[in-house]
This record gives sequence, C-alpha cells and structure tokens, in this order.
Amino acid sequence: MSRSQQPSPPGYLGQIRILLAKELTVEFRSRETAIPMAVFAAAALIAFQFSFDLRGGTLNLVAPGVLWVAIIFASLLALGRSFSREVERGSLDGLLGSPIDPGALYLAKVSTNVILLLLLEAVIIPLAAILFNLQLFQPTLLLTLLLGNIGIASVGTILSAISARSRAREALLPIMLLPLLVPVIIGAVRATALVIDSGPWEDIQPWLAILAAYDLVFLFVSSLLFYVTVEK
Amino acid sequence: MSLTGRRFTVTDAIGIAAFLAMLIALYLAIVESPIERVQGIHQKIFYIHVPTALVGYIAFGVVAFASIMYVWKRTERWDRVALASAELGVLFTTLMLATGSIWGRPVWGAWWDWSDARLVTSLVMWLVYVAYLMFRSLGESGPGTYRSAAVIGILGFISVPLSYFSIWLWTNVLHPVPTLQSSTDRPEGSILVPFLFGMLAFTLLYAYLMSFRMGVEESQRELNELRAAHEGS
Repeated sequence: MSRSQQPSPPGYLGQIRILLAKELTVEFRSRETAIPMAVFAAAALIAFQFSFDLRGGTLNLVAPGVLWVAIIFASLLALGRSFSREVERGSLDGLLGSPIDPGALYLAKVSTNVILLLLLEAVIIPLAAILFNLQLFQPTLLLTLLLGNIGIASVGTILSAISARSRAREALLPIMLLPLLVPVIIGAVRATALVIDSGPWEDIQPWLAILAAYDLVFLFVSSLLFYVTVEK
Repeated sequence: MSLTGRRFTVTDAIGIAAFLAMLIALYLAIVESPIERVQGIHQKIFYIHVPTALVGYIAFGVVAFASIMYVWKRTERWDRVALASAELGVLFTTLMLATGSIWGRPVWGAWWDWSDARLVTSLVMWLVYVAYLMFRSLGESGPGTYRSAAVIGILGFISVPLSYFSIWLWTNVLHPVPTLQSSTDRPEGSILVPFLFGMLAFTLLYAYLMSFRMGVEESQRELNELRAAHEGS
C-alpha cells in the first residue's frame, strides 16, 4: 500500500465528529437517557402545576422559572450518565488510550448533552404551550434555549467527569452544578419571560449576551482544563 | 521538637500583629469614627462588613491562583494553600453575610432581600465554595482529588466577579456603589482611617489563620503517610 492511501489521523474537528457519532449511536441504540429525561421533565411540569396553580395572572411570571427548573433537573439525568457510563464499562480508559485530544472528548460530550437537551425541549416546550396556553413558538426562544443548553452542558459535562470517579457521585453533581449555573438560570429565565410577554428585542438581547459570554468562558476554560480531570 | 518548649514562629508573630491591629481597628470604629447622619449607629458595622467581604474575595482569588499553580506545577503545597484559603473564604463570607443581615434589619427593615443583586450573588458565591469544601471532604486524599478540586477551584471563581460587579450589572440594587470610588462624595479622613485599619486587621487575621491552617494540614498529611507506612510494614 502506498503512503498516500493511508488515512491521516483526524484533526481536532474530525475527532469531535467521530466521538459525537459514537455518543449518538450509543444513545440511539440504548435510548436510556433521552426518554427518561423527557418523561421526568413532563412529570416535573405536572408537579409544578399542582404546586403553583399555574393559571391566570401569575402564569407568565412563574412559567419561565418552572420551565427552566424542569430542564435543569432533567439535565442532571443526562449529565450524570455522561461519564459514569464510561467509567462503569471501563470504556473511558479506552478512549483516553486512543490518540484523541481530551479537549475534543469534552466538546463531543458537551455537544451530545446539548442535543439531548434539545430533544427534551422538543417534547416539553409544546407540552407546556398546550398545558399552560403559552406563546412559546418563537425564534428568540429557540436561541434562548440553545444558549441555555450550552451553558448547562459546558459546566455540567466537566463536573460529570469529576464526580463520576468520586464516591458520592449522585450527590456531588447537583451540589456543584446548581450554584455554578445561577448565572445561566438568571439569564435564561429573564430572557424567556421577556419572550413570553413579547418584549422588545433590545430588552432580551442583554440577557442573551450574558448567556453567550458565560457559554464562551466555560467552553474555553473547561476544554483547556478537561485533561486535568481525566488523566491517571 | 518538644511540645512544651515550642519555638516562637512567624505564624505567632502574625497572630500577635493581627490581635493588636484588631484592637486598634475596633477602638477606631467604635470610639473615634463619627456617627453617620442617616443610618446612625448602625452604619458602624461597615467597618467589619466591608473588610470581611473584601478579604473573602481575596481568599477565593487565592484559591483560584493556587489551583492554577497546582495544575501547572503539581506540588502538593499549592493544593494545601487552595484548601486552607477556601475554608477561610467561606468563614469570612459567612461573617460578611451575617453582618450584612444584621445591618439590613434596622436599615432596610428586613434581614434579607432577594431583589438585591449583590446579596444574592454573594450567597451563590458562598454556596459554590461550600460545594468545593464538600467535594474535598467526600473525596479521599490523593492526586486525583487534588486535580479535580483544582478544576472546581478555577471554575468556581466565576462567582467572585459575579458578586463583586453585580451592583454595576443590575439596576435594582440596594447596595451602595463604593463611596471611595466616586469623586464627588469623598469620605472624610475620619471614616477612611478606621476602614483601612479594619482592612489591615482582617487581612492579618486571614494571613494568621492561613499559616496556622496550612501547618495543621501539613501535619495531618504527614501523619497519614506515617500511618500508611506503618500499616504497610
């Protein structure tokens, strides 16, 4: 075989693409994360309905918070599985033994979690729109959801890698995640509230800017630091 | 080294300096400083509240710096610095939240106000570092835990500027913008000197407790190593 026919090792983006394909294949075959997440979030929405009496005047005030708390709680299911599954099956060592960049592994896991969150939202947003009669089908909401999801996944994925190897992993992930997500919760809830009230773009935009800044900082710092959490 | 004939150390010297500075700071704050016209006597708690807040920020800054240094150099000493500073940061932030709350009761009419951005973001900062300490207490001691702790120490630092800059980011805040920075309303020397002494006293207290705590941690790890060696033999 001549040298030119040998496949060259994939670059950073190529590695992310391969890892992402692997993650999605695993999830598509087992469906052990996406479906439980959606069912849990739907159950949470209904539980909130009984706790807050989501009707009439208070609905627009409470609904954005209800929606985001349901999303964040459901995200814990995806984030918790993200690395503990690899650790349980011993496949993490295989991944780390292969010539891939840890940063690429991190970004592939983040992308997977963002996709899982989008799938979840594809179920609960229409559900919330129907159950609570909310104006949710707006392009600005899609942008808010995407930025919020990246925020949740960027912090959650690195914390998942940290907690997967710890003794008290079920407790550690939520304890560390929720305080760090407060800026995301504030930005996403405020933006969603304005979207529901059909607020002007100038009012929504600063909150989306906060979300975008948070996402960029955490994606950048975490992809640089990720190798520290997985090394032996 | 015998336990009774203990030598005078640098830690002891810092401790004595902190004690003296604290006495002077309290005297200046209680006796010398003027009584504020609007808030009256309640304003005096600021000579404690603001220094504890600032020393808390510094302590968390030290956590982030030591965590970066640990990731880079991998020397255990930096991990000890991060752990000790996180504990002290939580201590000073707790004092800051408590003194702020005590002041808020007579002046705002409530112990707590959820609409104040700095109050809420400071609580978040406190929670982040409580989670950091919880992670440290749950993990076994070893390089794996130290590395993960360093990552949390670096990521968690985002809560510090969030708390510090919150009064500029949000508009509905009850916290005043620092008077020292606005040029139109310069404080008189009679307020500045007690404040600076408060800063000095709490910074020295931080330095003393840091040095002490790191010594304890060092002994603890030495003891663990000896135990492990003893069990191994």
